[in-house]
Amino acid sequence: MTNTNVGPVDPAPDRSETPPTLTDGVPDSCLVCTVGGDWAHFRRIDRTVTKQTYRLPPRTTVAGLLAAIVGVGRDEYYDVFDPAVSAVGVEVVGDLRTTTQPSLGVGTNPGETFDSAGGSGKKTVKVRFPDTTDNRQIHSYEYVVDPAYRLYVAVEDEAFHAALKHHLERGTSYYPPSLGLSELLARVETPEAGVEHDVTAVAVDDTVAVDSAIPEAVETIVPRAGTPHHVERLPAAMEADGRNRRTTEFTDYAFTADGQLETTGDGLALGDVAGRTVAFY
Amino acid sequence: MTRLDTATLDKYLPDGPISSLRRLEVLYGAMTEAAAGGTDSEYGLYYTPGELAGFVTDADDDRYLVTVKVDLTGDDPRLDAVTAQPLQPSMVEDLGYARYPWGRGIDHSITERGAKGGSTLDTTVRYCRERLERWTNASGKEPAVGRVADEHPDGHVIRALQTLGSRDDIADQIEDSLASNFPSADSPRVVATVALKLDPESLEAPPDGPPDGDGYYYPGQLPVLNEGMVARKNHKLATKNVDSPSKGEGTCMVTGDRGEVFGTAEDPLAFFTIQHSEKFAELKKENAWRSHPVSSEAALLLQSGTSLVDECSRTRDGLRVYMLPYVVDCDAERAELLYATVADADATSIVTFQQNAEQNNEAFADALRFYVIGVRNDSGDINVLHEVPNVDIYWPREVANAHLDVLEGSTFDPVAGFRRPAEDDWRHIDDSIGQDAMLRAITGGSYARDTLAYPTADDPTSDDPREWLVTALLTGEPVPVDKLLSQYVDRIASDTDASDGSFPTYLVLTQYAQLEALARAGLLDAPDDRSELADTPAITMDQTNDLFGSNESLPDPSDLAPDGDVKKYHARKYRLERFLGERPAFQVDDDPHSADDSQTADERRGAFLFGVFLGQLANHQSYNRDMNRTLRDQHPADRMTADRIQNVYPDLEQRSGVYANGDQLFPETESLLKDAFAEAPPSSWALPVEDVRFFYALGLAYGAEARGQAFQLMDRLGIDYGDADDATDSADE
Repeated sequence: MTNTNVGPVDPAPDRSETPPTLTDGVPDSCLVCTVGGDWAHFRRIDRTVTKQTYRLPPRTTVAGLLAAIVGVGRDEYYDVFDPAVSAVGVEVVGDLRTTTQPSLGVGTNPGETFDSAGGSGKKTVKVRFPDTTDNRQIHSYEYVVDPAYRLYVAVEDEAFHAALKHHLERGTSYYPPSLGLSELLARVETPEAGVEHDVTAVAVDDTVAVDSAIPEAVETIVPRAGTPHHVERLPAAMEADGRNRRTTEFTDYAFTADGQLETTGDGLALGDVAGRTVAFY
Repeated sequence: MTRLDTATLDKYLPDGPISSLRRLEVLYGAMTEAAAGGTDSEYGLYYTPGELAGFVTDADDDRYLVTVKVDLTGDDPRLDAVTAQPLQPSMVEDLGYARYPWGRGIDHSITERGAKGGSTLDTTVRYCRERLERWTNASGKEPAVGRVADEHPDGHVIRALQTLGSRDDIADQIEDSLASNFPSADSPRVVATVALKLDPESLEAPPDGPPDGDGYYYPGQLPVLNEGMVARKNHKLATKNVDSPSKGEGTCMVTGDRGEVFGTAEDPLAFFTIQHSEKFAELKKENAWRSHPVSSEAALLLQSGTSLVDECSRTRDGLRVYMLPYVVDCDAERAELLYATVADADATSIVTFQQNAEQNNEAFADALRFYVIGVRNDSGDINVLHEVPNVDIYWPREVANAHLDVLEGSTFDPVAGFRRPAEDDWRHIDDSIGQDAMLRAITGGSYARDTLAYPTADDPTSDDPREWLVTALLTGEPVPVDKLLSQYVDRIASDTDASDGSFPTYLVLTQYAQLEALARAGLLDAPDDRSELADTPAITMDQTNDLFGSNESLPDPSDLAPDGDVKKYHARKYRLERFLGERPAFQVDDDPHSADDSQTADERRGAFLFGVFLGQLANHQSYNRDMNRTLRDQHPADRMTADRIQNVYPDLEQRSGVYANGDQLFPETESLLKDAFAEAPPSSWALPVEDVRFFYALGLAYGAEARGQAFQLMDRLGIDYGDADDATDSADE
């Protein structure tokens, strides 16, 4: 990465904002926005042969997308989204239907698929280039069609919080946010009632209907015949590792495109955001 | 009925819900290990004794264990003898066998399995030499074992074998010793191993169990040889298709535990290979462990589960379909039930698994889910055509019941509808079909496959239109009706052969039964301006065939003709009007609030009636006039359009007049058709072409049967219809 920004880029750096604080995983306030697009592709980590997608963006992907809006370099935002100091809720508001499209790819690995032309490269010019008439391979990509997700985001990091809030309010972003692949640009919309919302913790007596995807405690869901819900095991948190990064946590998420999921609420960090019940992680 | 070793299950069952295919595969691995019985050995997961199943002797098979006996008690290692004896099942445990299943490589354990096709003396000698030379890293090809030889406190044992293996004449020595007792000139199946005579006191890690009668220990008994096997195996987890090992400290994607993880662990379905990284920048092969971190325990369990996963699959239409039963919350008790469900099923199908489970335990059966994956594997290119992780039996049952309701109702009876084919004639609508058969057809895919278009052979095989319907039927996902109709029409075109006058009547009827069934089950998704397509037909139900009992769906003769004097024409008219009247798709909606909706229903009614008329005429041409090329052959469904209907209509009217000597041949149809066209002239139709074509085709099928079914109805009502020539019938008008 060539990006030299190592911190959040706040369009109005002098402004002071109070970031949320987390209590038992539930923040006292959060930022709300909806990301959507025509297609999304969140590649499943256990698949490479057919490029299949998760139906829900992994928490790490959400973090990366928000970091793109804020303008933080790769490997520079993982601490901000450590589950101990941040909380993210994801609600499905679009479709979860997927479609598979074959696409023709040209290899760009200099070691494998480059061709060269011209002279010897010593005294005369030698050009190395990917030969686009050859070396093409067809691969199938699976996409989520008409995806849209409402994100509830709380980070305790003050600078990141202020920058994200400001970008969302102004409708700006440092890098163009995308849904998994760079060509799948995301639309970011914010509620008319404002970007920042108070969160009140939700106590559960018996069962509770949750609007967002439910992380971790997927076995607490009360099933209903004929309305199966999705369960996916997603990367949830990362850490930098030298010049690379590695996943530190995987979390199971349960979700549905058809409204709410009923759960006993055990082990969930539930918060009420403007009348909607959100499970934070 | 406990068949699984509880301690093994406790150790290996995934902690938490079954939330991914990998965790499911690990569950299968844990069940496989537990079914093999408990083992105290810390190497238990690595061993693959089952792979020797075809190599142990039973009765008079030619299956031998060839043992290279090495004496380490002297100053120098000494080749004592090479023996060959029938491999008894009781020997297997001591061999410490761990197979390397790919390519021409050698096995992980020093014990090597020979070729399945049998081995000659020469080949067997090579196996024996490789035990000493190659496996021990004397030839430098197995660095992982070499490291154990150098670093393990008992590494001198492996080094002694290296010394022996490096001797130039070792192959000759082995051959000399083996030749005399090698079983036969034929090629028996052989397993080659090395046994050691040594002083147990010379080892840090003592041997497990006593030596054999001659004082020899086998590889499974010697920790240092097991460590060599483990090292080689773990090395492979990190080095498949990469030059430098891909492993590191990370979090296992299967177990969630932190520890050493490997990047090139195989999964049973081969969905992950590191060659396919082209789209993802910086995904370097040696960094595979970062994006695909799998712990050694998970990798071994994945591998253990492979054969059980394969047993839950079958091939249909060139597609490998896996139907893997599981429960989200799987404890030892449920693992037991799950294993019984899989192991006791003699056929692989969701229905069989479900029924097995229901016989065993109701609560468990309720929790049972299926992970269904359809994979096309063409010359190594793996395409996942559909993947449904959470199938339960609910939607297939809903659809099956809806389909059976349609078959029992007036869509298929003489009162208004079609004739059902005889048993074995057309499997989804014939008169023998029951719930079990329907469930199998739906979950197995034939219900979708038999009604939709054939895939074009030269298309890329990444997509198969039929799999989309299979998935929808399993999940209860709504089916877009236009996509369905256009698939139906394509299939009708493929199955129609105008040159021999054939028309796929039963195909069209099956498609229509499916369409009505999907509507009944609430699974049809119609565009807002043609929502009537998704409405449930008000077909009469619960008809009993009891001749003397009440029969709600049967009309009174006075319903057919007010004066009770029922002519054939009356029966046909009653049937046709009732068929139209029971179906919202043809209904002029009188509700003023949805007045706009009626337009498409009128148009569809016109397309259908036009088909009926043409079908009746074609039937008349072929039976009464012995014509070869009928109107139906001239106007196939896949070429019909509103314009064409408009153009052909006068010709049909004229023919009817000619055939009936100036009268109308089928006045009931002709009058209804005239009304429909008056409401909505074809020249102004807005109905999508697939809608026109399918209902035209349905009309053809209806028209062809109109006469025969009318006779059936009259029979049912006890009305004598005398001579069956309908040309005279029109005089009734």
